[in-house]
Amino acid sequence: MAHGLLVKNEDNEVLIDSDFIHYHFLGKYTHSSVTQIPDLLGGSDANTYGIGGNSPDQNKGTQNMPSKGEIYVFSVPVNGSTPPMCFIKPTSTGSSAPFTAIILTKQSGSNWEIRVFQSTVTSPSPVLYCFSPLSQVSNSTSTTHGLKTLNSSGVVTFDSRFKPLKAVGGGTITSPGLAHTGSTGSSWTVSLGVNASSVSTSFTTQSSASDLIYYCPSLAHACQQYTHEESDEGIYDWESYAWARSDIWWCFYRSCFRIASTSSFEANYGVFARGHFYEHKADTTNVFAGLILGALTGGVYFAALLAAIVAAGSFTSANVDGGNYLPYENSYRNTSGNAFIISKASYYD
Amino acid sequence: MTKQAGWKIINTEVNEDLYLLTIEMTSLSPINSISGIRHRASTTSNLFTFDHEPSNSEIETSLEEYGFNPELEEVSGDRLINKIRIDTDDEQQFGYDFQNNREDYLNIMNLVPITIDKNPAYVILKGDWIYLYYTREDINYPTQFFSTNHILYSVRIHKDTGETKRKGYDFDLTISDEVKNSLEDFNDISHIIGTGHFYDEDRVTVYYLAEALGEGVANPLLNVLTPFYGITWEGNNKLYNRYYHRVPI
Repeated sequence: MAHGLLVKNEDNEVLIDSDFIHYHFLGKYTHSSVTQIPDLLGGSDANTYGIGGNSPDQNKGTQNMPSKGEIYVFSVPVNGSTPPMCFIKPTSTGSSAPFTAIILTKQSGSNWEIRVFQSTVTSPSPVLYCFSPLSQVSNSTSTTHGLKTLNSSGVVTFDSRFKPLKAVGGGTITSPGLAHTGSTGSSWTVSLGVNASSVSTSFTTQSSASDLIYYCPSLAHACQQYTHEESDEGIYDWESYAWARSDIWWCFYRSCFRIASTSSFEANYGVFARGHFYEHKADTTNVFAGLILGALTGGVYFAALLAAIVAAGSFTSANVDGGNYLPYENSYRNTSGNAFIISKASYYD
Repeated sequence: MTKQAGWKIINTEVNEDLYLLTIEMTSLSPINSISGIRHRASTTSNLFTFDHEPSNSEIETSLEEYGFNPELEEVSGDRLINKIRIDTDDEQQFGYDFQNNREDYLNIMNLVPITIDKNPAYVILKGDWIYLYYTREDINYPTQFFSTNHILYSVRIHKDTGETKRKGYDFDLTISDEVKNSLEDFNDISHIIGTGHFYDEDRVTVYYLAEALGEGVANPLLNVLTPFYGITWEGNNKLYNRYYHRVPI
């Protein structure tokens, strides 16, 4: 830097650099709507009238499946190509607080749409504290004193009058691998709720956890499934019978975070999407061979699911067709190196 | 497709040094010593994790801890049937099958004085006569006695003489118009649900309901879940008219 301003603290950390586009407070926003990913359900029921009494009709919907989290949709009025940096002011903090994270940032006309995913439904809802380069901040001020820096092109990069973003802590955090550990079900009862231990990391101790806001987009995700099928055939109450049922349950989890204490930041998962497909066939006169569940692979997502609903199997191929019922099989992605920044709401309220 | 009991890995992924194995486990019911078949199968897939590439024995240890048993336990209770096959005004018939009434079934089968190629689905003892019942889809199709398809077959065998009398049952009316028109008072009946063909006697039985079945209700000829009547003619003359219904015991 041949000329300009560079301000550092006693730890040699840069506080102000006139060559650097600093983010400034844009505003505090509440959500405009709430949504959830629709359940992806499908099934072909058997007419079990008169079938042997052990034909299983239970749990053909979302019974025993974990509840999904909610997605809060925010519309942030910032007309520019640089996405705003949005900090979450969580609804609560501590070891019982829900986990929350930004899952989507996209430009929508003269606004930016921000979607925030929270692992459980709460009231009140999370609030966003958003920041943007000064060129995209249209706030006005009557203050006539302070510090303002320009870069070599004459662009204002910092202006103390417009509440620059002040970080009080930060680091990287690793999300758990699997969202659900242990068995994912038994017989026709699925067990896919999040039971992974939260991963914790520390930051510089602050005076009040409830005052903290954080920036940490959701990067990690996991997908887990449970499949079960049974078939039976024989003679029941003077009639031959045969039945077969195949089911696949799955959950797709997104990583999300919480302020666990004045110095602790935690990561875990919330149920982002879920699905259950089954095929159930029964007859009192036809004995058919036991059915084999097709290979279930990850890949194409919703389109394939919808196609699967349309292409419900015929009787003789009564099993759930193999294919793309879920994003991927029993695994997780992008768990490590998720950067986070901590700031304080009171700086901007 | 015939299933085999056991396990197989259907997906493997190594993620951050963690081995994620999705394993499919199949359990089968024991082979039924009478029918010779395994009738029930169960397949479950679940995720198993290891911090190293597991050997087969390590996988099997994990499966054992999970509770996997390749032999499926028999379901009890809900498979029990009403032992009363038919309760008419003047007689009760008790049907026994191997699976649910093994001792009674074998005791009656031991009374049969002739060689039976294939074991029946149900047996009934009525006086000196032993009734063997076979259903249409029974893998023990009674070719020893029948060469014509029916939904139900009965073979009546005298326990002392071995005399055999056969009857095949059909849904609906399956006699010719000529026979039908010759039967006494045939036109007085309606809501016909089945026909019984006697192979060794000049008899025929027509089964019918007092009222039409509701929509979607299965034909009760086999399970007698809806009461019905059956008129038996010998030659062209009515021999008897019986009322069939079930009485839970």
